[in-house]
Amino acid sequence: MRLLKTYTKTLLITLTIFIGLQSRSYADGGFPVRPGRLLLAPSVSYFFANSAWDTTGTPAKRYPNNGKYSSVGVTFYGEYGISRKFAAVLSLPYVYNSFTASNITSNPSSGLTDMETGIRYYLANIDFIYYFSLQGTAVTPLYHNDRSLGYGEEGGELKLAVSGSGNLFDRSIYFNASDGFRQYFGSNGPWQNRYTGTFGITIDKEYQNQVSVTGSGILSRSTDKTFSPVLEANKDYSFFELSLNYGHTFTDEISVFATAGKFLTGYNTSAGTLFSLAFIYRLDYK
Amino acid sequence: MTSFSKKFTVIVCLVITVSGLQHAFGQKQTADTTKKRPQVIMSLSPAEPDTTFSTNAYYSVNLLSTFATDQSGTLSYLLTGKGGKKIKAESMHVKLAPTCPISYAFSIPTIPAGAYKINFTVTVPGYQDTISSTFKIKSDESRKDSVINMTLTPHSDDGIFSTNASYTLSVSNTFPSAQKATLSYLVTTEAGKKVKADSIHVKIGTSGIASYDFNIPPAKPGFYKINFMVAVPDYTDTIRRAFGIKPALVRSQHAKPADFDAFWQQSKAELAKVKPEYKVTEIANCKDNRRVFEVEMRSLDGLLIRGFLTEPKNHSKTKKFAVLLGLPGYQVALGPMYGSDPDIAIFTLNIRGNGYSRDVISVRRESYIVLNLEDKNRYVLRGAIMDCVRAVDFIYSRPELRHDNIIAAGGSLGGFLAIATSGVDNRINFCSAANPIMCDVRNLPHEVDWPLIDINLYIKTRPGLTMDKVMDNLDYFDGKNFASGIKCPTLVGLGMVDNIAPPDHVYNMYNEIRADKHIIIFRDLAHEIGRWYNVYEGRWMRDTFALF
Repeated sequence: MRLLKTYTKTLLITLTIFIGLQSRSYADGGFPVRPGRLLLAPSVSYFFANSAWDTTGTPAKRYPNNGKYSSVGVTFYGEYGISRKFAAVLSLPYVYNSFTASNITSNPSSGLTDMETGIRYYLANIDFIYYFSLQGTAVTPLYHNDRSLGYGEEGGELKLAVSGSGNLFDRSIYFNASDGFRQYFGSNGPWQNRYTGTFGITIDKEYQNQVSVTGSGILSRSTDKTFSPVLEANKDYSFFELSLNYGHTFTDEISVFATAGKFLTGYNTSAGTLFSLAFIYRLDYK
Repeated sequence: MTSFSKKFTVIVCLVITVSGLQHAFGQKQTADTTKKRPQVIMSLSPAEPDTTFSTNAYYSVNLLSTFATDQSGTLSYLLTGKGGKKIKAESMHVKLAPTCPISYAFSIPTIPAGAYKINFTVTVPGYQDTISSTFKIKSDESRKDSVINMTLTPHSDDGIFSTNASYTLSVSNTFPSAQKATLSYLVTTEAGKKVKADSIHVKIGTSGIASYDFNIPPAKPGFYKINFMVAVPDYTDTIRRAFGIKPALVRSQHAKPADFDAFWQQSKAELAKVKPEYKVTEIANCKDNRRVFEVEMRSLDGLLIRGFLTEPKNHSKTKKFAVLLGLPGYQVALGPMYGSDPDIAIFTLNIRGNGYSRDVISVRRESYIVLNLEDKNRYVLRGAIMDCVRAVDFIYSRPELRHDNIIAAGGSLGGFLAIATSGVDNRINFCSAANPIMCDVRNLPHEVDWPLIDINLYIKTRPGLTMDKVMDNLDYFDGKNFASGIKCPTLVGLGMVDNIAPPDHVYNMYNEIRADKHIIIFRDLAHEIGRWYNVYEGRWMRDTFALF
């Protein structure tokens, strides 16, 4: 019965070494959130652009007089697993925007922008590999009459996301893909299609380091076609951004993600570059 | 267990070949059954004398009893070499039902090249008969270049078909010349009853691969064995596989005893009267950043049983772990199990008479499965199943363990214990049973060798004990009878050519489960499961326990 003995031990060992990569990936995917788990992700970002696409699209044209738009953002993101099916999400961004040119005196603006609060619902899975979720989000402006911070309008979004994990070339891989429809409820409030897709792979067998590539974009439509170098002010625009990400896990509770991104195509918006750094803390309360 | 029976249990399964059946139950049966005196009709496969084997010789002995009642006896072989010198002899117990054809396969151990004679003798009370044949074992030199390679491709990933099975058989020839070959197949029930056979004659060239499609005629829902054979003048080979037709429709014809649930309620009530007297001792050395504990506790009849608990080291005082209750295979000692999973504690249990729990019950390997089989209240598995329930009691006694996240998992006997424990104790939240034995026990005779060999031997030593009485008792330890009581998600794994936990038996159990369930079938595996089972088990368990 040596076979049975060997088999039994193999069974148990294999079972216990299985760790889902999904818990290592950054937030906002299709994976469910563990009940009682609080994920906190403060991040800082720097965006700058010295050119823009006009209403005719490419190629991007430099701002006159060495104009440069920059934005420093600090965002607090959090999600909490309420139950096996439901999770609550919160995003609270703060920005400092400025546009400088040789003939313009800088007039920066700063403040809290649009707060997003939502509920994510774990829809289904396929063979416990592909997970689907649906998220409803409310958009609430935290400012008044400052177009440099946003539209100043309430909004709502419905987003479908799918995530999966597996193995490739003896490495763990994962992907996230989501598509959301957002509607701002004010006059000329745009409707938007916000999409993102990420493919990530671990670069060591201990799951400590991973790299990923993300493609994301926004297609925003409104009767208000005016252009401003300040991203938050435009209503009728589109862009596609490609970014590279590196993630490092220090412990089961603490990770860091660094991102560098570039706007590749666009319409009626700035052609910018983005750097960001996010710290992720996971705390289990159950 | 003798070396022969061990070998028989592990590697030998019921095999019937086309030519054997055709000869045994075709022409010869017609002639012999006209005799008035009851007898056992014998035939061999391969039937032809001087068959050449490359290394080991394989024979199937086909038996058909014309006695009016069941006959128990022996089937033996005597292998002789040049000059009649005895080379090898083996014997096994057989049970023959009236007019029910049955075949037994013999794998003759590796012997030197040369010519041999083999006599097979069947002996039942008042009757004995012998059939003889001769064969050759190839020399090493002639083996090198003289084979017909066969590759069988079922037209179904898991060997399950909706109506009729179909296969592609690819053959290539390494003989120096083209070979006239017979490609044949034989379909039998799991019990060895012939269902269908066919053959084609082909010429296999010396280069390339030739492929032939075989479309097996429709069969009724169930599981079937299928052997594909190639025969050329100096070479024969067989591929053994199995397939299923609409397995969701198969059901056991044997009912659960009316007092089955009451029997186990009474057993649990008796267990509850035994004080557990848990003794938990932390073991100093540990791996994988886990704490390790040796656990002792009292179970049914006051027996001391042991297990090992390993927990991830964790600084949080509020952290609670899901629990894997690892259940042992037959006579397997389970030590502490490790692993880097930070969410799961592992409790490995040594049931009474196994591994580290042999203080009172310490019997030989072959004696364990039949210990006190004549009395269902004293049968060893009653206590073993209660040991598993006591293990759940222990888990419930630990505040750092999640009492609503318990998975019972095991393979073979461990798979049976997982099913049984989940059936009688609804505190189990996830059940994982790979290759569970002891399912649909009343159909075990004629389909499995083990534990029937040991049961038959045990009956012989107990005056007045009969197979009927044994089966009456085993009804209370039948995996399929526990299955209907399972309330938690259950994963089952089976090997399609498993001769210890045959697929029809496992499926009869599986079809009785009324909870959320899933079965993973490994088409070409015997008493084992593939890696995908473990991956799926881990994922489903984590999803069920919300360990995202």
